[in-house]
Amino acid sequence: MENLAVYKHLSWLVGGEAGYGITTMGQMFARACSRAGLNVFGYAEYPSLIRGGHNTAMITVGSDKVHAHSNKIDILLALNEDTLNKHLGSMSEGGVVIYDDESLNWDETSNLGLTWVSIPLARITKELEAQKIMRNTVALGASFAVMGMDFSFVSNVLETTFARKGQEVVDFNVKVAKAGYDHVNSNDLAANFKKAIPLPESAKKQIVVSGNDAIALGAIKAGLKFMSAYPMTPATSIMQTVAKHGVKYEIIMKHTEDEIAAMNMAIGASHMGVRSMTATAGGGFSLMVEALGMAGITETPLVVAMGTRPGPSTGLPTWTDQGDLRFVMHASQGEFPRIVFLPGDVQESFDMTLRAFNLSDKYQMISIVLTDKYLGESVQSVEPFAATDYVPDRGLLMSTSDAAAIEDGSYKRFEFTENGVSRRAVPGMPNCIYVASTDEHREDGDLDEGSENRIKMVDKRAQKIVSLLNESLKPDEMIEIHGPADANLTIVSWGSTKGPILEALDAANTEGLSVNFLQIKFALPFPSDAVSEVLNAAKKTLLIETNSEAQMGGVIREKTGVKIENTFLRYDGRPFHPAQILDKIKESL
Amino acid sequence: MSKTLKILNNVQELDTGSSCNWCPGCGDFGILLALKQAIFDLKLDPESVMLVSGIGCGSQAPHLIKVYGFHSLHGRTLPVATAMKLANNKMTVIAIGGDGDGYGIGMGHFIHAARRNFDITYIVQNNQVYGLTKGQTSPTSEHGYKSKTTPEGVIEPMIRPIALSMTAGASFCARGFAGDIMYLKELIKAGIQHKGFSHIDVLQPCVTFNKINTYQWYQQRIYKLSDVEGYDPSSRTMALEKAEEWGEKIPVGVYYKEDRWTYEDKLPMIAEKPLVDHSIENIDIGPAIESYF
Repeated sequence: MENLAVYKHLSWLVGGEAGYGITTMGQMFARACSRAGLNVFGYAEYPSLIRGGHNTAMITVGSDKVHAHSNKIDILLALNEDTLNKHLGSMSEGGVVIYDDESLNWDETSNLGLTWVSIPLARITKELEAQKIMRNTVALGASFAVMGMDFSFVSNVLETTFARKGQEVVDFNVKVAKAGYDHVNSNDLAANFKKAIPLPESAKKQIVVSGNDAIALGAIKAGLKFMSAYPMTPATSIMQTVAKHGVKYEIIMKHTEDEIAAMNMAIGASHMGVRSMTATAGGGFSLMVEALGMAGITETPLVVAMGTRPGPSTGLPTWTDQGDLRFVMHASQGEFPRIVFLPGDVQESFDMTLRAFNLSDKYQMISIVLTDKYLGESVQSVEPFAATDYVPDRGLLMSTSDAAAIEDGSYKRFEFTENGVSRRAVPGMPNCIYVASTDEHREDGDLDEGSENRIKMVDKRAQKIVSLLNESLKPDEMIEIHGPADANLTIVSWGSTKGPILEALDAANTEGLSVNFLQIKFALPFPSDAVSEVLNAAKKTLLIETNSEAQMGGVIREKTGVKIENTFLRYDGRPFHPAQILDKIKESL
Repeated sequence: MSKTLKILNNVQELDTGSSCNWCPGCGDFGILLALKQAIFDLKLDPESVMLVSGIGCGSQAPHLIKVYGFHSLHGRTLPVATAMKLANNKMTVIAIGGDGDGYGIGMGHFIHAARRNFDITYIVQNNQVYGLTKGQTSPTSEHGYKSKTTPEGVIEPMIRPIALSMTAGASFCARGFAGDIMYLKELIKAGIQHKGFSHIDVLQPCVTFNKINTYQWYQQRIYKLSDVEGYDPSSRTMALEKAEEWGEKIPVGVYYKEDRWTYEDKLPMIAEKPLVDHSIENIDIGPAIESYF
């Protein structure tokens, strides 16, 4: 293997029909690479179908952090002809195609300067009397042989994956994978492949986790006790992950009849004093909007994870988009404050969810964690989440003894205070009986349509976001500058585009270009001063978003007065890849 | 959350002193009175009672009874109330709302709450008309009923609330009449005491907008199931037959009662104590991240 060129990132792509186990295979490959000490980024594409249609999983690996998928494939694992037809054009020079020439109707293997590794996946599977789907396991073994990596990483992952099914199942899976691995090596099939990723001396233990799972895990860590949700791509795995850990962590996860119930139940549970959340996509969020206002006027804390996909309406159900930024910022009739977090990667999805629960409790306010399909469903390797120093901050939520000390009949749930936040008793506590109403109300909760009270109540609720900004949020939490402080070009973006931008930024600066990146992490409250300062000092700016209206550009102009002329927008449902951003950087300089 | 139990000395202690905007003679007064009396008779600690309403004339109720209250959205009474029960299952949760709220816009939630058999009581103030929006047809308006939105008369047949909740899976289905407060009070008490989803449909005249289904109209038709010889509320067949009865005679009382598991019974998370009493400090997510290595 010493003759192989050292390569920064390597991309492996498996393609086949839906129902072929493509996603699972991608995850296994990613985890095996992670165990070898490599960093991974896994991105899956699939149509809105249970079976049939073209599915892919691309795992990009590297010695250092991998922030995004790639537009080039180094190793293509084709489980059907369709995969060859669709992806041969994206092969990098000197790449490898792994395919089963006995099963696939394909004989043009001399073209493109590629290495064609033909392996009889179906025959090997059959000879071992394994189920048909286990040809994936053969292919997994073969992939590791092609990469020149030790088989132990594959067997290691198979062991933990199938451990609960017993040693026999583990051994059988290992045997099947080894058959693929050995077939490649004994026939020296990958001798011409020239790309290898240097492995670290000792592999640090990392987890391979999606943005959605990071949100679910963050919520569990934060003390989530109740979740109600309705399945909708790309947010479904959040509720599934919470449900999976429901018994262990004593969390009730209710799959409701619709998103209207999901939102109303989440608010009902939170009102009683438990940390509560819901998760959905744009269509489901549309149904939740009615109750969003209820949380606003009753000042109920709540965390909503919202994963976007291209609309309007059903749109492109399984693809990615950032077209709902304005929607979540303004959804609902009436005016009330809310927090909108914009995580850009898996780690931020976890961290911001933790933060969302604390800020929601402290300011008795809705927090929306806005992600999308690209971030929510892509996996990244990160240091194992722990957050051992996390302290749940319940704000002015009283304890039973606090409540018992209050004179019966004097408690005012919506008391006017300097920072707008009132002491919060929950039903069941002594001495604090009150009504929370969706009608405008007085300090004690009873109805009041008077002019003076109305003005005070609107101001009280609005004050909370001002207080949040003054008391709890620091500018360096709300924006981040990546790259050199002073640069010839400043990229402005938010959310999941962070990954491809960071990759492009690295490549550009390595080439000697001078580029940095302003990442906006909060849509509400908007870090106006901090953004203004950066933009006013910037030499040239480039706005990058995955939508057609440059929505963040509009927000920036509204909040800072700065108009960013130079935009790069993608709205075909596909995420940006680093190479196209690098091209755009060069064009903009 | 442990607290000293509070016992009321008289039912007036449940008064909030808030002004009420119902029309003189409204059936809501009878329902409110019966509910207060039921809470008092059962010696419930008002601090352990959660009263949840939707939007409609009768949904002002939480402002008029001194227990914990939540005045939610039109049609969303049940999702809010049922989640409250799950979050703190030590509370006595009572949901109250109109026929438009529960059987119109909230119908989907009604059916699903019934089948889940949460241990809550759901009182429907059924006056067969929309009062707060000033006189439009409701899902329980009779076929042919003329209103501002159906000037030629309602085309569709009225829904049968008891038949719906029963077939959906509610374990206690009853109907009362706002004009018979003592009997209604007993039904509400039985509903609160029943472990499971207790649906109590209350026939209630709207003196302003419903000129057909008046106190007199009901009084001529209503009879009590408890007076029917051989009526057995554990019989689904008998109950369904009575649930269809409407017109010359209208039965009130407990139509159906069944002992079965509640949703809460099946949740190990709250077997020992309510969710709200769980500590959320120092949660170790180690076990949850095991499968991601």
